[in-house]
Amino acid sequence: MKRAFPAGIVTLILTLLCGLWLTYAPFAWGYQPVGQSWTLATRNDLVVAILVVGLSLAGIVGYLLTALREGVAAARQHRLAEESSPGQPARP
Amino acid sequence: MGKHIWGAVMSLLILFAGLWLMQSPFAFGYQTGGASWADSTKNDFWLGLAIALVSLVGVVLFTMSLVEELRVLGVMRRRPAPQPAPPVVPPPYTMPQPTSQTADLERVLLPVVTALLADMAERRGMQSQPPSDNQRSTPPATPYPRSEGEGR
Repeated sequence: MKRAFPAGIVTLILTLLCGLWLTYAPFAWGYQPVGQSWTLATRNDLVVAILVVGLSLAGIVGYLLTALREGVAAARQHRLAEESSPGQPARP
Repeated sequence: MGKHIWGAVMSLLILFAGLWLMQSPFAFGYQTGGASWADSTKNDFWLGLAIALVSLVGVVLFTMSLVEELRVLGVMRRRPAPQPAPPVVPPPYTMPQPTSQTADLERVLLPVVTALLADMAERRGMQSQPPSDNQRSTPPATPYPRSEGEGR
């Protein structure tokens, strides 16, 4: 049976949440005082967080778009096969 | 198929980002080696580890999905389950068929074996007869062990 919601997407959602936490962590932990210039740790955390969030979003969106495109292509092929041989049931 | 490859590649890149986050406090030098870990180090290390592990699981899952789809398409074959080996039954013993060499050997050995059997039968016949006087006076052919005083 084919899963409608693949497990790999769940890991991308989890890493997305980790990245979002990483943007907030310097202020939550208090190692970045509010109002002062950003420390090296804060800058590194924010850069990595943006990277992780971006990659996670790209992974999720790219996966869904590619799946949609493949589904449309498969449906089109199925319809063409049905039109070419109306008597016989086309292979899914 | 492309969606699985895309997901696996993205997860792999996130894995590298997580690994970088783990060691960045030591790489940038805002965490010295001997001192106890600061809050930023703890956050970066443990969050980096979590990101790396989750993305590693993602790489594995996307790869498994890709392999499964390739099997459905027929590109890859499913590995057959290992069958238990059948018990080894030794073949029934059959008499060896005489070849030309063994037939020749039998032809050569047959007169020898026949002569030996005849000789053995003749000796048995002689042993079963009562010994004559001439045979009684003669000492036995095999020497018997001498006693201590004998021969001095």
